[in-house]
Amino acid sequence: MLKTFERMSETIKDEVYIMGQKVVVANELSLEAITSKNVKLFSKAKNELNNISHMSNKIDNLILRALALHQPEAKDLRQMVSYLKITNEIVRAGTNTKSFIKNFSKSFHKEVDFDTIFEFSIPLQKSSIEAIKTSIELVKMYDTQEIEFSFQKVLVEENKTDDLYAMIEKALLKKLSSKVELSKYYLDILSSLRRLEKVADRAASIANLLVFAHLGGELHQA
Amino acid sequence: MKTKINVEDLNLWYGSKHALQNINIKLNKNKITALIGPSGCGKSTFLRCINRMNDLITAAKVEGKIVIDGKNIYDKDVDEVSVRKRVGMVFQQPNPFPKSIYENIAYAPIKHGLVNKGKACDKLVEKSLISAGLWDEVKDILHNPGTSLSGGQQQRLCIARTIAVEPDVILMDEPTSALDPISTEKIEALMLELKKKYTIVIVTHNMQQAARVADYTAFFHMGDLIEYDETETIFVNPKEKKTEDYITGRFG
Repeated sequence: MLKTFERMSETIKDEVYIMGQKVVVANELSLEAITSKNVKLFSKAKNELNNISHMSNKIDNLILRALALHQPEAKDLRQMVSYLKITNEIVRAGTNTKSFIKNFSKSFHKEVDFDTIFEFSIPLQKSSIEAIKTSIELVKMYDTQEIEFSFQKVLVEENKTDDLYAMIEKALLKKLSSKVELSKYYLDILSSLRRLEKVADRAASIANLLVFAHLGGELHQA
Repeated sequence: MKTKINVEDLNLWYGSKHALQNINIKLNKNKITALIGPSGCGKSTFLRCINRMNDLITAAKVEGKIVIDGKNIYDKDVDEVSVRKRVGMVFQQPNPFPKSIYENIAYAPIKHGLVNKGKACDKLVEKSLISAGLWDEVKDILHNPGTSLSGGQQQRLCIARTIAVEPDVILMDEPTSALDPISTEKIEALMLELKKKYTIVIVTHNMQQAARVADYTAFFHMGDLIEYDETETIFVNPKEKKTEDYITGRFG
């Protein structure tokens, strides 16, 4: 491949990584907002995601250009197709993060039992962050073993978020039945926590696409 | 962007056949411009106008201007040999002289009086072969025949030969069509290096090649210049339907 394509490919990879980091940082800030009870950090987290659609468009256009001008084959082609789909996954992960922040921050009510919620939501959030962080780190990996190990790690964290969400759903539905007047708050919280589980789903999809890019096989949606 | 070659109202006839019709185009300095189009569209004819190669065809008649660095190369006071020294050409089939690798490079500069035999000539040969990315492969066999090299090496030898007379412009007429993919990639990488110093115009039937290496692309059809723009525009958002149909393989 010509150096011009290699440079283009590296730029795309770097931009995908930077874009992914925005989602990681936004999720880390929202976890910090909860653990430190500093609500201001939620808006800082939201700000991280302000430019994400613009970044996605920019990367997609770079990919379009690379495909049109260089007609990559094999691994190069797999990478380009994967990145094109990954930008969409990162945008979706960002949208889920924003929804989590919005719904969770508006459900603060003094009578809501946040001790029970945090018992599950913090581990859920941590797993979700671990999943998205690891999947974005995969962008910069070259070693097959390292890639496979990280891919498995993402899947484990994603499974954990499924389980933790199921547990918190059960616990909150119990609470909801005992305090119907707070049902709106509990349902908002549930809805927001569901978003964290979806962030982990997107992380699994990103990891899956990166494994396809590196190792080949069939392209399929996770 | 600085214009290197300004073509104004260029028309060419082969006898009664109007092969190029009113071509107007500005080719930029230190850029690669690809000429694409179906066979017989006039792209090679146009390329040969840029160094007055068509003067060698008796039936060819040219009208219009090709201005290189402010001077119309078709002006009566311009000698076509001096034009061809400034505007070098690389052909489809590698065509080294039946001489040694060294002599292939040294022949023209000595003939043009650019250097004398000896150290200065040795240096020029080395410099040209380095620029063409061939030095490391041939430095120990400089006195072997040029024809003993592989096809890809012979083509790079021809490029080195072109560079040796220090032209401003290099014309390439399907320079890789007779080469395998590895040699093709070497020539393409070389073009990207050479454009830092030279203005390059290439005719190619390989649209992927045009997309990969060219900064600008011109699409010709039946003697007309249909569209000329940045390569990215031509391959992603062509403005003319004919261009789109051609590059998507719907005709030609």
